[in-house]
Amino acid sequence: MSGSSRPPPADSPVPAASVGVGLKSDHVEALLADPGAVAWVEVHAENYMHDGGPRHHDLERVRRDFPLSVHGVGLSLGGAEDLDGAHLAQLAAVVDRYRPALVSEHLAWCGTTGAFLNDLLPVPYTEEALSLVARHVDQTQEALGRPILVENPSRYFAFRIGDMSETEFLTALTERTGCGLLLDVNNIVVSAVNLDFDPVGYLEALPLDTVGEIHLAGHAVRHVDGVELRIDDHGSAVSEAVLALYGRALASTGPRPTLIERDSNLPPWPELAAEASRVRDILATALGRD
Amino acid sequence: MATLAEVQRAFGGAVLGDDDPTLAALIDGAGLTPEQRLGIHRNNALITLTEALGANFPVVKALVGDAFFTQTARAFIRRSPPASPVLSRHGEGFADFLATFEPAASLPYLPDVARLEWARLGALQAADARPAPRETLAGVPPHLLPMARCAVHPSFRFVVSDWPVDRVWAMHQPDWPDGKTVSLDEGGVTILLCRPDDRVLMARADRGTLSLLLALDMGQTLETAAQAAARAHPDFDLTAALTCVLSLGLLTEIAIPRTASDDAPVTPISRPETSA
Repeated sequence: MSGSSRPPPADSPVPAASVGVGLKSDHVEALLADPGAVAWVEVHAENYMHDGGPRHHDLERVRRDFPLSVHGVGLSLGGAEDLDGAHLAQLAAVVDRYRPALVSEHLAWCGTTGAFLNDLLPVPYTEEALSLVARHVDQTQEALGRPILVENPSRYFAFRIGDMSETEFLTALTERTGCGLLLDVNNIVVSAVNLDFDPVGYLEALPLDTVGEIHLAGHAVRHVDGVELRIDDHGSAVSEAVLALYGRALASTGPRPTLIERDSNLPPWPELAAEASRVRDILATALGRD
Repeated sequence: MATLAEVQRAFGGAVLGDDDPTLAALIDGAGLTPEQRLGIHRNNALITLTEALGANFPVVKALVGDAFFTQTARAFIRRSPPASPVLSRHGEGFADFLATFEPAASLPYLPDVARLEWARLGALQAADARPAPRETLAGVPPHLLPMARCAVHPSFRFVVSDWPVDRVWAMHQPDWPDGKTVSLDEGGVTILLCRPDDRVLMARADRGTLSLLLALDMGQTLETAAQAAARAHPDFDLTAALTCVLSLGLLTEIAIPRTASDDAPVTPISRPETSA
């Protein structure tokens, strides 16, 4: 065993002006050997919903040196069905075990009973959906005993039904539940191209005072029948368009913990560390401006 | 207006393969067809679920090749989508599916390779526990040994196969010598698995040893468990069985009654906190 008896530090908040990365097992040793490169790490909650073994041992080691964010990808806050109580209990167990500074989930649904689709699927912005998502956020915050952050989605189409815009929906959700916003700047750029809207206008319509964390990532560009689509694959470096919009967001939010998400085409650690350094410079500039 | 539940039911069906005209009517194609836009989600779901299944069954994937695996995985996922977002448990039932999947019928050992990979995954993620040291049993007074009760490691898994699937698995590991082959005529195996620390160990054993472990895991005394193993497998050798079991780290605690006549309470003589 790897000395798992020592509990993680209880009080290790993520500093506002700091950059983190998504933790990948391939990078654990490099991260531990290069602790100055990033200030914190984020993990997907679902990857730790089992009892023991090397993945837990790695996170226990990392957690001793780094503040943590736990990011859920399967709770299905936007599901029409009741939240899966067993899954929520497992999320609470991960949170108890690792005492993260931040906990977040998505404005999305992920499947129906017995059929998890492993995608963050869009919710139509109706009053019915708002009541439901708000109830699910309340239930989650009660189960965890703390507020969560909810991430704005990447979108590939607009529903023809709905009572409000996405930004109105997110604003109402934060007001009704007291949850914060996980501002995913990449998702805004992806959705803005796919749904043809102005990303800056969208950004400014969000409840930016509630932003508790920012996500940056790369995305793919595809062309289908002459229509350009952006695919949120976290498979490349953060794009210039995303960094530009990020700078603009910081001007409103002030410095916020910022995560670089990289889930495929994983580069060697030094490449990711260099990207973190570049984002840290943008954050420092924002801090100077305050 | 469609309710959220109606939209999601149709959407879920569309992602898994059935186009739904009522759903298409709710989607703004904006220069594309609604189906093309839905297709992005369908691709994302099927591609990532297929990748996750491949990550859980890398040797099955290597044995059949990427193209065949993708086809097989999609058929499986459409029939049995994962019940939970915990993708390390994605693939429960995959071995049974392979056994009935006609296009894979020419590889009769494939389902058992899948069973072995599933057992390894389960062992890898089971609760941690410190194994009892190998010399533990030597310290038990011989007249008390029959009364011993042994806790089996939480990562204990086993696979029984008519094929040498442990060697088929080993063939696809990086340390397998170039050019060395495995003959399917080598015959069947009983494989015990355990993860005493970070690595999953596997070893071949006889069926008697497996019977012993299963009986111990049910809480039977060593004597009762050994008798059951010997009844079912006349060649059962308790000493050899215990050596095998202890070398894999499969026992975590060995408890004996204070006296032979006093079955309870039991005194643990080895447990995780006190073992070296």
